[in-house]
Amino acid sequence: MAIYQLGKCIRMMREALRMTQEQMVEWYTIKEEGKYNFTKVNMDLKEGYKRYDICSAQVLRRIENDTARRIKAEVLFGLMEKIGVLPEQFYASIMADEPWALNLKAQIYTHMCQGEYEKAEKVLLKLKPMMVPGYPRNKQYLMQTEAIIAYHKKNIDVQEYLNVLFAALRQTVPMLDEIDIAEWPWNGEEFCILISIAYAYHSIKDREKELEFLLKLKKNVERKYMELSYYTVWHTWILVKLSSLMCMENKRDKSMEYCEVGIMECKEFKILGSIHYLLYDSVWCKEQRLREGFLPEDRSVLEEQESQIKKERVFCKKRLVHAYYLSKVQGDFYNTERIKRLWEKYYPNETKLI
Amino acid sequence: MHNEKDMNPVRLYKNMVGDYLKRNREMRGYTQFEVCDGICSVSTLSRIEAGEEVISFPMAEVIMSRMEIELSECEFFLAGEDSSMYERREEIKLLFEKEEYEKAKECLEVYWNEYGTKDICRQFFYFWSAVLEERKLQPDRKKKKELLLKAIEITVPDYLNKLENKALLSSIELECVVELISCEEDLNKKEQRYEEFYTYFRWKQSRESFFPVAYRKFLKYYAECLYENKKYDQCIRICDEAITELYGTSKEENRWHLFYRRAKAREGRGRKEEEEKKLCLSDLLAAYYVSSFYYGEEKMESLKKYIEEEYEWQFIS
Repeated sequence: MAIYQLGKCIRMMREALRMTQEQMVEWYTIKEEGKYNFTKVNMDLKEGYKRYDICSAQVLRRIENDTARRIKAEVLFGLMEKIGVLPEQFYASIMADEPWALNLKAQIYTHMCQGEYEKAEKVLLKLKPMMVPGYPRNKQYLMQTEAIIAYHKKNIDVQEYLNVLFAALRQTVPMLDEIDIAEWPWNGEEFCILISIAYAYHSIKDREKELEFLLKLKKNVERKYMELSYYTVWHTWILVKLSSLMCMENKRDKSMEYCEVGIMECKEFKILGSIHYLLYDSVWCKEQRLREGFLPEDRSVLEEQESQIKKERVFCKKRLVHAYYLSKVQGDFYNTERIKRLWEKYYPNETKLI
Repeated sequence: MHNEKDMNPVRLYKNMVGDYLKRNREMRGYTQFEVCDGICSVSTLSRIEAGEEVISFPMAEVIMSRMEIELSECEFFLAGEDSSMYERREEIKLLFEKEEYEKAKECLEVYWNEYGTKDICRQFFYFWSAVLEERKLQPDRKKKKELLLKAIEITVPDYLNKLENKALLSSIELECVVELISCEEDLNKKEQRYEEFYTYFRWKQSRESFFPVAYRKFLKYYAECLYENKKYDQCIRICDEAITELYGTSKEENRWHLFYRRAKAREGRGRKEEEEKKLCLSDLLAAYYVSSFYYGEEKMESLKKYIEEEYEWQFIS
């Protein structure tokens, strides 16, 4: 279950829209008084409009600081309406008429992870009629999933793919074009769309855009507005992508920096997930550096350097063996083989990995 | 069937959780009583479903868990007491993961002082106090069992009966039962109780339910019990199942121990084929490298020595 602190998210949304607390609580409506039960403050500020306040700025402050004991439903509803998002304090990723709809959603996800887009499409056809029409999150999910399948089946080009992904995001974040992606509190489904966007830039080798986008996501996630388990998974994923991008750009020091941060976090929170990617990249970068090392003429320094190279190599071997087993125990056999190949390339005289 | 009225934003907002609970309950064919027995009264659940009463987050979590709603597919924005209670719980769980038991104990005491008047919160307190007891250097098994009974009896006083009758149980209720069975000292009785529990989980699987963390924990304990009773083939089969269940999950969850147990079960059945020996070694190496990565090489020194001596394996140095 993804848990967010409401006050923190409201503050983030308000600041992303460049509103002060006073601006946030103002409400102008041409509709009849009392429809939303907001406190009437001033009259006739604009022709035909009446100004109400959703709540006082002080109350908003307490909500944002999470010191409000109780928040009226109408107040929350008003604030979310003002921001322009769905007024929901709780929701499921999709709303469906059948209890096994989420099983089908999970199947679609598994098929897509394994590159089985035809199978994913077949299951999606079963899921679609179960989904409640008119619910924006359902529409968002369908738009995203259909676009991913169509793109990987080469039915649409990357520009159309990106257009659909951004349009999917606008289903729940209609003011998307006004905000900085780094500043908005994304939920799980929205973050999946952002990941798909990053993958799209990667697939067309637009490294500049991919880097810019990933750095924004990194900045966003490091605000830690989501629960710890989501933070660690999202943060690690971003670090994996950044490290990989830095490897491709031959910026090995930067790549290793990202790897070390990710490895430390995974160790601290006992996360498996993407750890083997980080270990792999860190070994690859270190070995490249070792192989490009220069040897000074002074012999004593040479001996020291050789001893240092030996130590670093042992470190690399240990790391790669760790990566191998960490990927094996989570059933990631594709990467297990990938790591094995690197091991055999770098250390052909060592015992084979079993 | 849904219509435009159902999509009315104000109505939706005011009755989100209640509406969602009702819809899922009816889709799954559960009665209100089945879902809320021991948690709240049927009349309270009716009011919640109708949007006339606000449900607290811990209660919503337990009811959803009983209905086997995949919790990772839901998102909550918490405020006020719900938010602070949730943060406190997560802090406690994290301290347990980091093995900072003194701090965990302090946090549990603060949690009890702040929220101990609520049933669901007391259940959480007793359960984690039992875990704390288990993690002591010399755990008092009797005290652990007492704490677990206190935890389970808050919402399911007749839990054995409920299991027999295939009642709905939440993740924490299932974990309590798993831990209670592990307290059984008679190995044969323990195995029998695990077998019965396994049947319960098979039944849940036939209903296409998602499996909670409790199931993975149960499989680990069951494998241990089978190993202790020298039922090595069954132990291997359960380890296989548990390992597969863990594929795709992001946390380590002590899975290294399953590989270790599977290797020991293979050794236990005494087959001499080269292939069997290779499988044992592969599992032991997996156990060593995963555990040493997360828990440190020092802690796994004895396992390392064992592999070196029994399998003449040379680790990188």
